[in-house]
Amino acid sequence: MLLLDLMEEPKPTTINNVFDIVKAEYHDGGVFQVAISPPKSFPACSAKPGRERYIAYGPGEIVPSVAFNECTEDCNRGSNESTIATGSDIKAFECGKSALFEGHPALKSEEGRKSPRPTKLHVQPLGNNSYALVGDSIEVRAHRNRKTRMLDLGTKTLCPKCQAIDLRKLSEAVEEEHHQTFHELSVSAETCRLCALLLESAGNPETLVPDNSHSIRLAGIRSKSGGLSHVQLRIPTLVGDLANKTQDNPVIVRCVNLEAVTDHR
Amino acid sequence: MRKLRSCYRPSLVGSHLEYCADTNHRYSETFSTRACNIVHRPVGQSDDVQQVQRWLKACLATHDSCSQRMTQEMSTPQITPSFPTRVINVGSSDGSTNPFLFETEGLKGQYLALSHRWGNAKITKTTITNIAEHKKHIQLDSLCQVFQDAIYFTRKLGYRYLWIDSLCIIQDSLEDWELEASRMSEVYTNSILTLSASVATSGDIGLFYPREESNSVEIPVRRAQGGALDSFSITDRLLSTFKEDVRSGTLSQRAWCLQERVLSPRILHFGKSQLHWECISGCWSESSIEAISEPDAFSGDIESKLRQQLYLTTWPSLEETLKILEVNDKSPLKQVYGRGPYGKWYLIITAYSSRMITNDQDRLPALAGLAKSFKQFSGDEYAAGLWIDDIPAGLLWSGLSFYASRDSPSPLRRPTKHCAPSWSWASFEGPITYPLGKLGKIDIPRDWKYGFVASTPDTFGRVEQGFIELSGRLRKLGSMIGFTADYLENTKEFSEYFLQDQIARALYDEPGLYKSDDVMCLLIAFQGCGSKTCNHNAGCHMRFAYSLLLHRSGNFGTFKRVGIALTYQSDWIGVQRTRIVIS
Repeated sequence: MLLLDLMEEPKPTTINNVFDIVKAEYHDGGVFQVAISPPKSFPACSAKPGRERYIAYGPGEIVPSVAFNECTEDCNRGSNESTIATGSDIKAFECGKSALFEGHPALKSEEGRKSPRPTKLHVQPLGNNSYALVGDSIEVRAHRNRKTRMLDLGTKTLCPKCQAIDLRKLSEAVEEEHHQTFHELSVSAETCRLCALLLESAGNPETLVPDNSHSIRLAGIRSKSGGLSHVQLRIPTLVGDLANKTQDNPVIVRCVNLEAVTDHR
Repeated sequence: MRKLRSCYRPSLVGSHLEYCADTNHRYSETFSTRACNIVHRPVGQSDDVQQVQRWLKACLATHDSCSQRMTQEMSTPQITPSFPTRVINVGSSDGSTNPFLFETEGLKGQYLALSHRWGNAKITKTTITNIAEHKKHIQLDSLCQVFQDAIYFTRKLGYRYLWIDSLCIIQDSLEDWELEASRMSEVYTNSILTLSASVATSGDIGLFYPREESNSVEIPVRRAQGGALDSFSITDRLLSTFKEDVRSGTLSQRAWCLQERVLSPRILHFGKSQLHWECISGCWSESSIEAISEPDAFSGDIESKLRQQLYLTTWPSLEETLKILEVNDKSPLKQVYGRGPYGKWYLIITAYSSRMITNDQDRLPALAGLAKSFKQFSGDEYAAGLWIDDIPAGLLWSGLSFYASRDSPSPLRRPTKHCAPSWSWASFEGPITYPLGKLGKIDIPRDWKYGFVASTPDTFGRVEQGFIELSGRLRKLGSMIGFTADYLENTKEFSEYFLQDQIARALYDEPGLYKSDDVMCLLIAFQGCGSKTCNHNAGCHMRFAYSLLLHRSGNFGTFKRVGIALTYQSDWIGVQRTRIVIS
């Protein structure tokens, strides 16, 4: 995920700043479609007042709300009716709608000129004038309860998938495939202590509709010094049915960060 | 994949443990959890002395900035600093002897200090009647929990002396209290380490919080050839962070604790679920080997930055600053806000005034330590929270900024007891700010006089009365453009559409008390960019001026401050200077 942190800008930033950076990042040309999900104009619908989140809290969970989905759908549908841009400038843009634009002409490849199919990107406003460009997926950061439920892990072993966790890949922040489906993870959690921990951290399974067409993955999260700080559990989901309502079917990934710890003494 | 055998044990290979993911060895070269640079580590018990000793040893031995500060404070690093007047001798490390109050009588030695909030706890105090008994022994179990914990921890760290305010200052002797309060700067500056009960809301709550359990799964990793085994763990622990424990902790809200934190060379913060270390070289948490913030981090704490600036910044002397600004005795002072040391002082006041204090009259004494440290750099005279050579800018404090909505209530509250002259920010309780752009030419000639009556010989402590006598242009507020009744009526509906610093505006300390016809406006400085090359056209706000709002206080020519104002420069054309007194 490319995080576009524009908080240091002296003035409130516009989405045009994001597009400028997108152009710089994807300088190989072609047509881009950028959908703002959720739209900036949509009011925060967090259960906690003052927290600028566009998602509702369940008990210990965060899921996109129905209103959020509908509003996103309306805005994105509206934008698709707009004309496709032909120049290098952003032609159709309004906050809350998607925009179509082309990469810089000087950088545009011949292939890019011929291809009418746009590259689809999603931009997620994070509040405080910062945006996250999440590529073709939308990430939902799950917040765990502060009160940990203690699990009985003593009698369990490690499954082959967990034994094969590649520390080097994690430390290089490379995503690694874990179980193929959420069901596999749930079954493995009966006998594997790490799978049990991952399943517990993922939150209440009743609030989660797994997307079995994509596998569960583990990713290393680097600290500011470049070291390995967290292992991120990434579960593809269909939570809130957002994937079915937006036309480009983005993958919604529920992300849970767990700490990686070693004794340095 | 083969199941891992439990017979593998860690062994050191060179300086690190070797690693390979499995026996099918996808990697031939050595690899380890340390090579992966896993930055998090397990958190020990809440009284983890070993971790603190490691931090302390590293700080004393390897931190250049911290040793540079030691060199500045002492003529040579080898010289041990003086004890405070009294310290607690914590007794034997095995606890077989009780602590007692020790009169140091000019001795030198290393000691720890405690920073804590009294709260509603029954705090044991040294008084005139019990000081003799405290010198013999202090019953440990009669002390509140935070004192017991601090004594226990001092013993475990291997130190003998600890400074605790309520025990080392005679609490019912005003003379002793004022004397010791004036030495607070040295107490914290000279301590080897300050123990900070950062999240404890009162003395009844100790330093040590129970560590919550978390789920953790150890993942063994081993090299292909067998023999060396390493491991790391994945855990769902959620620890309190430095931000939660320190920046948002209990002590971050308390006025006295600002100087305790800024002046202490090293602080050990006892958080809810881990310890945090803070020194001039940076901040660390127990759960990570990685520094939380570097000393010069842009986003760091204001307190950390202030410590850096107070200890390590080499500021130009006042004479040099004035020379840079082309000031001499004949020319009016051109002080650009934020330049020189004074901008730092205004940062301190902004941070300090938003903190709470139990006794309103302690507002100046609780800052005395910082003011004394600051004097080393400014070389200036201090008067009730302001610096004499920067009086014009120092007067322009306010509870609100010019950007605040016109119906915003003032955050300032006048204390029930008189605390300071009206021109001092200390006369109010509440967060103050310096809502200034860059000051251009200051209109007050440098012939101002001042005087104040301090309640103690220490001029950094409580101030009962004070005055400033100066020459300035004075005009009735209600007669100025932007403040006449007609103008205000005509612009009432659309004044909110103006940029708030682009329209004349008065910010009263206590709105609603005065009519604009009864208020006088004193021109302090013109607004400007400070650039010598600027022709003050578009983009430069030279058409405005900063003014002080005054109200007559009875005697002829004597006023008290009631607010500040942004006025049009054209209002001041032709107005002659007059000499006034602000009390």
